[in-house]
Amino acid sequence: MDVKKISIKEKAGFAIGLVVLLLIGSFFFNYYAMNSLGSHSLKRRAAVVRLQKEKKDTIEVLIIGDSESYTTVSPMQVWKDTGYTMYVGGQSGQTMNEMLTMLETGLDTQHPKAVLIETNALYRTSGNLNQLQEMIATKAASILPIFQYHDLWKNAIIKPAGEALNMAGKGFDIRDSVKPYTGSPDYMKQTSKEQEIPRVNQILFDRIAELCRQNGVSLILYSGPSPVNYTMEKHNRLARLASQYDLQYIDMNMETKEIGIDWNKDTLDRGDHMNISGAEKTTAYMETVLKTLNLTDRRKDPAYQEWNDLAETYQKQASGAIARIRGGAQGENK
Amino acid sequence: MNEIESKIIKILMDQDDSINYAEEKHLIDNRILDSFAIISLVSELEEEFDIRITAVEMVPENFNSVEAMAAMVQKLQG
Amino acid sequence: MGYNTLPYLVLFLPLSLIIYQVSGRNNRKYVLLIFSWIYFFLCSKKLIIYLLLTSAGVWLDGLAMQKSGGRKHLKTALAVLGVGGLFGVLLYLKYTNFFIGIVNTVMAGRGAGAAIPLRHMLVPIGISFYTLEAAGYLLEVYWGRQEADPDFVRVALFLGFFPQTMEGPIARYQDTAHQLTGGKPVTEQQLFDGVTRILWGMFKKIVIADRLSLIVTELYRNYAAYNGIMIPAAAVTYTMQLYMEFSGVMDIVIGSAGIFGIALPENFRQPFFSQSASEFWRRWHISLGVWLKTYLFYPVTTSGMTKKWNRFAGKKFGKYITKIGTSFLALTPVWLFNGLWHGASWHYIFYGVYYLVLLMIEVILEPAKKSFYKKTGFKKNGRFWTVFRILRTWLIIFTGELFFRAESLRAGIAMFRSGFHHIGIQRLWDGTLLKMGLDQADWLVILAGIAVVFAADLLKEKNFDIKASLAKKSLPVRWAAFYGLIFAVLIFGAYGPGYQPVDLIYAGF
Repeated sequence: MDVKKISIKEKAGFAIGLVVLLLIGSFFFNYYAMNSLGSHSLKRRAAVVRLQKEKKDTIEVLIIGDSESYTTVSPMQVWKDTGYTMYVGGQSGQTMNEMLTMLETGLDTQHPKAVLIETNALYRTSGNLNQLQEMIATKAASILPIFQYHDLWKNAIIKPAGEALNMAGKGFDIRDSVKPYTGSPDYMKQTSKEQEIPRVNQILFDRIAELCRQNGVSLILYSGPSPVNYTMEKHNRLARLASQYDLQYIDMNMETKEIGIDWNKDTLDRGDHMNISGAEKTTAYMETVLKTLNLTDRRKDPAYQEWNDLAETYQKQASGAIARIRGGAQGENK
Repeated sequence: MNEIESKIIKILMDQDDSINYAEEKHLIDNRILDSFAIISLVSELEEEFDIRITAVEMVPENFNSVEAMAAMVQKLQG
Repeated sequence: MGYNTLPYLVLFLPLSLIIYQVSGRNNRKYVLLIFSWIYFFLCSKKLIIYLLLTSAGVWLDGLAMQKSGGRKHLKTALAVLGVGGLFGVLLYLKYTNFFIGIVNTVMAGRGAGAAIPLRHMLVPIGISFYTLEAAGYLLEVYWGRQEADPDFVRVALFLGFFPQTMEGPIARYQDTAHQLTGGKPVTEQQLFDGVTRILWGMFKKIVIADRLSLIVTELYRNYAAYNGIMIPAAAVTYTMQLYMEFSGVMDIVIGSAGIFGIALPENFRQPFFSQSASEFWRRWHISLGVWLKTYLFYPVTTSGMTKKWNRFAGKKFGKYITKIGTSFLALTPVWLFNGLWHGASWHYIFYGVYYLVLLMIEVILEPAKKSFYKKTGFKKNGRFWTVFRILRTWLIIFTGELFFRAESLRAGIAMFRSGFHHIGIQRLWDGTLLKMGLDQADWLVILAGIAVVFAADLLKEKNFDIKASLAKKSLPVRWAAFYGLIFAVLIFGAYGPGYQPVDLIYAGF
């Protein structure tokens, strides 16, 4: 095909047509994703869509991070105890790119006063080039959602199963199995050494911190209790990061005794994550931090009646599960 | 056509008599001669003209046509 | 940085193109070289030292051979030094552990104790490819077919040009070197042709190959769990994955180079229309076949040893036996080399020997075949026999790739044998194969995608120029074709959430 023979008009027309088709496709896929789909089709994106679907400007505290975030703080418990509205925008194995996307989504639809970052994701890396790839893909997807949701064409051929989007726990699910952690409870061994945070993650963290600053959001770092993931070397580096940016850093790994973690009962999977019994304790601990932030108790606000209803159901399920774990035999599995 | 060329054509006709060798200028490029045909051709040329063909000569340009082969033979007879 | 990844396609390639274009004609070669070395560095970090030393060594060795003038022995010594050095490094980096393994096995067999520990080797990207190119250049200079190049930049670019770094094609010096330093400007036409070719490659790679990857990985990793029909399924799916992947990446590579105005040699020519094993190898990974023919097959066939055999056998056994003997002498090194080049493992050697045996059978049966067609009066080029030969060649290809992909030779043999147990053909549709991580929608895309690629191959085979005929079509048809290709890649591509990125297969060789 001789390109020279094609008129400028046709070339421009082709380019404009391409852009229009991309926009139409994006609109279509985005609409479909937001309105008729659940966790099966949306895959990792489900967590973002759930946050997008929260009522505008109702969330005061946003938590982001990987699975350590959504197993350590329960918004419904916080609501019941304090009346603060909180949401966990966590994804299993969240990357820093995804963390940034989640923050941007949160700032888009909500005006949180505080953002809490669970720090485990800061150490997650798939290599510089892969992270660069992800960064470009994320950027492209934020401009043209067709890149994000292109796989949804499959729903025209196969009816997906298990489509409900679980909106009840505000990003937190009740996990009630137990596999004890049998290692040393003193896994934070005193040292002055530091484990370096991957360079690309530092850059992404800087953007996250900057975004919070611009939006007048107070940013807090915290580490959930997890002997599998945390060490003193990481603690030292994270504490220095916090002081560089003048942020508060809460490391629950240093406070497991005050929090009252029982490593025989409170962990889901041998010290990697908290189960509901552990989460109840870490959430209570987090509430003491939240109380210093000057947040609003909305339990009596009729606009938030829905939260009271959800909390009631949650409370029943959670206390049942907790009672089973704490009363039941050690090492019970489900 | 010189004597060398007609001798080469005779050798080629012994291998496969369905091709008009005098006209064909892309014996290699058009895959009329494959690498096995080339090796037997090489040994016959060596015998016929009492020359030594080495790896140096083994390029398509030397075998694409009867003229090219004749030129190569002449050069090697030196 | 694979050629199918975004950092390459939207950052590295465009950036290199822009800087290339805005540089003056005489500076463009430096731009290409710098970007090539950056690319290599991004892939292999400090192991770039191997490429730099190879480039310098080859450049100097070539010049030294040229200067040696009439001193034949010196020239030969320099050639041996150069080629030997190149393959020495390759052997050391890629094959040390293989040989240590053999020595250990032999020693253990003799009851000797302490085994030699295996070493952890860091291998620079693409060393198997640039080593062949470098050796080819030195042999051309040695044979006097090519003047030694005084321009270091050209030699370095010939060995390191970034689109070729990972998977070739393995170019010959006379084919690409001067194009690389020509400093041709990027034209609109080149850009259009290159981008179209890249899109086509992306279609093969991310729509088809990356989908198949999931199932291929499972079938070969847990091979012991599968038998009967699942074995041919493993052979066919892997062959398809490899073809779509390797030829797709070649489209991206040749398209990338094409934008710079550099024509790289083609590596595939509709291989699945081959009518024999030997024809397959003239259509599949062509640049490797050409290299082996030029620098191994012909030197062996014209060597003194082969000629001695020819004279000796010619008188004693007649033409037929002589040809068989000569073929064996010349083909054995070619196929052992081919097998070993892919990796230091017995199943690759088996793969080479497999084709050696098949090609020898072709040579041996040649007269019988001729007389078969003569006696029966069947038309050799009749449709039935052509289709028969093509299908027979498929069987040969699939079987070969089964051993090629197997985790080890032992695994390959086990798989091959279990293919004859519990055939259970219903497993193709009862869910065993269909639910192996791919859903119905995925299979539909795979089959449709393969059909599209084979239709395109068929048209090419019939010398039908798709692009030229498209140019004559009306505007809506033309636009629909290009929009179709773009959106097929965007929508049906196996990328994003739920998919694992798949590394380039041939970059591992």
